[in-house]
Amino acid sequence: MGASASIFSPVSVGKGLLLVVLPLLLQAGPGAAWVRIVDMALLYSMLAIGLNIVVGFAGLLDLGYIAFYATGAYLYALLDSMQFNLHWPLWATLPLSAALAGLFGLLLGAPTLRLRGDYLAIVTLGFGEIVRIFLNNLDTPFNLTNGPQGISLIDPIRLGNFTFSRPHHFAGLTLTGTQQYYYLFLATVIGMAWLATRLQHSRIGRAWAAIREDELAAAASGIAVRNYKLLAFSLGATCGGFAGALFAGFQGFVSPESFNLMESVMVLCMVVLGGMGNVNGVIFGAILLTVLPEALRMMGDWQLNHFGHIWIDPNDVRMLLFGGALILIMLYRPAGLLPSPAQRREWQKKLP
Amino acid sequence: MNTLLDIHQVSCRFGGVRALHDVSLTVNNNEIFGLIGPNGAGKTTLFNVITGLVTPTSGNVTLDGCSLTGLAVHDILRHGLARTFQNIRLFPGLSVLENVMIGRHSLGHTGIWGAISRNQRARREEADLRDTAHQLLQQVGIHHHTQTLARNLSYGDQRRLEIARALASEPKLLALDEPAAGMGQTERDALRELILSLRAQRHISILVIEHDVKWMMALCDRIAVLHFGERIALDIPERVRQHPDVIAAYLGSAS
Ligand SMILES: Nc1ncnc2c1ncn2[C@@H]1O[C@H](COP(=O)(O)OP(=O)(O)OP(=O)(O)O)[C@@H](O)[C@H]1O
Ligand SMILES: [Mg+2]
Repeated sequence: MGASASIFSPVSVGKGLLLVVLPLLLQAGPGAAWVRIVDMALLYSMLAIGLNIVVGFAGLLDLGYIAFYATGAYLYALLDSMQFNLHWPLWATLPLSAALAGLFGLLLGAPTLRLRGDYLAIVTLGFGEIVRIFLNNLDTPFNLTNGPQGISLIDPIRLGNFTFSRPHHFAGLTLTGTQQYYYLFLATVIGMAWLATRLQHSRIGRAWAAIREDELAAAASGIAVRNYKLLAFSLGATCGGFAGALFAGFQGFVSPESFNLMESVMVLCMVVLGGMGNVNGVIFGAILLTVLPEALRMMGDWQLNHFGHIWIDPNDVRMLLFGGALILIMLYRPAGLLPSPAQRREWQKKLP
Repeated sequence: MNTLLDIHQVSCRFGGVRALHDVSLTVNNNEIFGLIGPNGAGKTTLFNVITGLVTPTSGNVTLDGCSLTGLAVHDILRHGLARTFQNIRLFPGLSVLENVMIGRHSLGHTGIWGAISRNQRARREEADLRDTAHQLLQQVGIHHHTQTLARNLSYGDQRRLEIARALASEPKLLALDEPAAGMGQTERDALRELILSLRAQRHISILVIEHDVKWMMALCDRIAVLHFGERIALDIPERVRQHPDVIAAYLGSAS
C-alpha cells in the first residue's frame, strides 16, 4: 500500500502537527475543559476500535461491550488504589487488565458461538448487565468493589517517575495533567488503529470478513469459524480492557454507573455511525459522538447566559438528536459517514 | 482404477422426508461423475452430507481412504473436498479477488504475529496468494473484474467465481451443484469446456449435479440417477439413457 509513501506528504505532516498542538490550542482557546473532552474522545476511540473488530470485522453484534471496559477499569482500580493499598506498576497492571478483559471476551464468546443476530445481541446485553450488577453488589460478603459507591482515590498513571496527572515543564512550556494524558491516549489510539488495520488486511481479517458475509460459505472455504469468532471477541475485549485501565487512572474514580447499557449502545453507535469495518471511520464516529453532546451542553449554558432561562434542555433533546441522526444515517448512508473503501466503491457504483 | 470418494449406504431423513435412502456410489481419481434426478430427488442433500453440512442418519463417506463422517465442515475442505452451491453463496460484499483469496485460507499459515509484523514469510505468503488468485481467475475467465464486488458480477460470472474459490483450496474432488443453472447455451458450452480443462490440467475428480441431461452426457464419464432418495441407476451415459427405470422415473416425469 502507498501509506508509507504518503506519510510525509504535506497534508499528513500538517495533520500530524495539528494533533500535536491541539491540546495547547484548546487550553489557550476554549479552555481546559475541552482538553478533558478530547481525552474522553480518545478513550472512546479505543473502545470503538475494539468493538469494531467484533461488529465491523467479524459481523457479530455485541451489546455488552462496555463490560470489558469495566473489567479493565476495575482491575486497575483494585491494583492501584487505597482499596487494598496496592500500587502495582503500570507495566503489570495494564497488560493484566487487557488480558483479563480478553479472557472475559473468550468466556462470553464460547457459549454464544451458535447464536446469531438478535439472539447474540440479547445474550451479550445480558452479559454486560451481569457484570455491572456484580460490580454493584460485590461489597458483600467481603468488600471487593465498594458497591455502588465505586472506588475512588485511584492512583494516576505513572511511567517510571513520570506521573501523568502532575504538570511538567518541557522546553519552556508547562503541560497540565490532562494535556499529558492526551498524548498518552493519542499514542494508544494510533497504536491500536495501526494494529487493527494490519489485522484487517491479513489472512485473519479476510477470514473475519468471510464469516461476516456468509458464515456457512466461510466454513465451506476451510475457515474454522468458531476459532475466528473467539479471536474477534477476545481481541475486541482486550482493547476494551486496556482502555478501561487507562480510564481508571485518568479519572481517579470508577463506579458501576459508568458502565451501564447506554454506554454500550453509545459505543455501538460510534461504530455504526462512523462506518462499520473502517478503522478511521469508527474513530471519527467516537470523536463526533463525544464532542457533540458537550457542544449541546454549551448550548444550554449559552441559553442561560442570554435569556436567563433554559428553553430547550440539551439533556432532553440529546437522545432525540441521536436517534434522529442514526435513522438518517441508516436511510441515506447505511455504510456510515466514513465507509470502508470497498463499500465506498459500491456506493459510487450505485449512483448513476 | 482407484477410488477417491466412497459413499457407502448413506441414508438421510428430515422428519418424515426420506431425502436419501441407502445410497452408495464411488468416484474414481480423475473422473467426472454426474448426478441427475428430478427435483427433490436428494442430489443437494447428498452434497450436503459429503461436505459435512448435514449429518446422515446412517452410512459413511470416505475420501482418499480417510473417513469424513463426523468431521467439521472446514476440516472436510482440508481433506480435499471443495464445493459450490446451487443457490450461489459467495461473499457478496467482498471483491472478486478477496473471494478467491479466502478460498485458499486453508493453505495459509499467517497468524496474528505474521499479520501484525508483516514479516518476510507473511509478505511472501500474501504475494503468492495474490498471484495464485489471479491465475485462478484467469483460468475461469473472469480476471478482468478482480476488484469488482462479487455481488455486482453477472449470474454466470458469479458461478465461475464460486468455482475459482473452490479450486483455490486445491481440492482432490470438486463438487459442483448445478453450475450451469441460469446460463445460456453458449455459456453452458464454455462451462463444459472449462470443467473438462480443469480435469485435464489439475488431475482432479469432479462431481456434477445438473438437470440438462444432454449437457451431462457430453461431460461425464459415469452418471448416477437419484429418484426419491434412491440410486436407481449408475452407469456410463449411453446406458443410463437407455435404462428403463430411468426413462420411467426421470425422463418420463420430466417430459
Ligand atoms: N435441511 C432440510 N430440512 C428438511 N428437509 C430438507 C432439507 N434439505 C432437503 N430437504 C428435503 O429433502 C428432499 C431432497 O432435497 P434436495 O435439495 O436434496 O433435492 P435436489 O435433488 O437437490 O433437488 P433440486 O433438483 O430441486 O435441487 C426434498 O424433499 C427437500 O425438501
Ligand atoms: Mg439441489
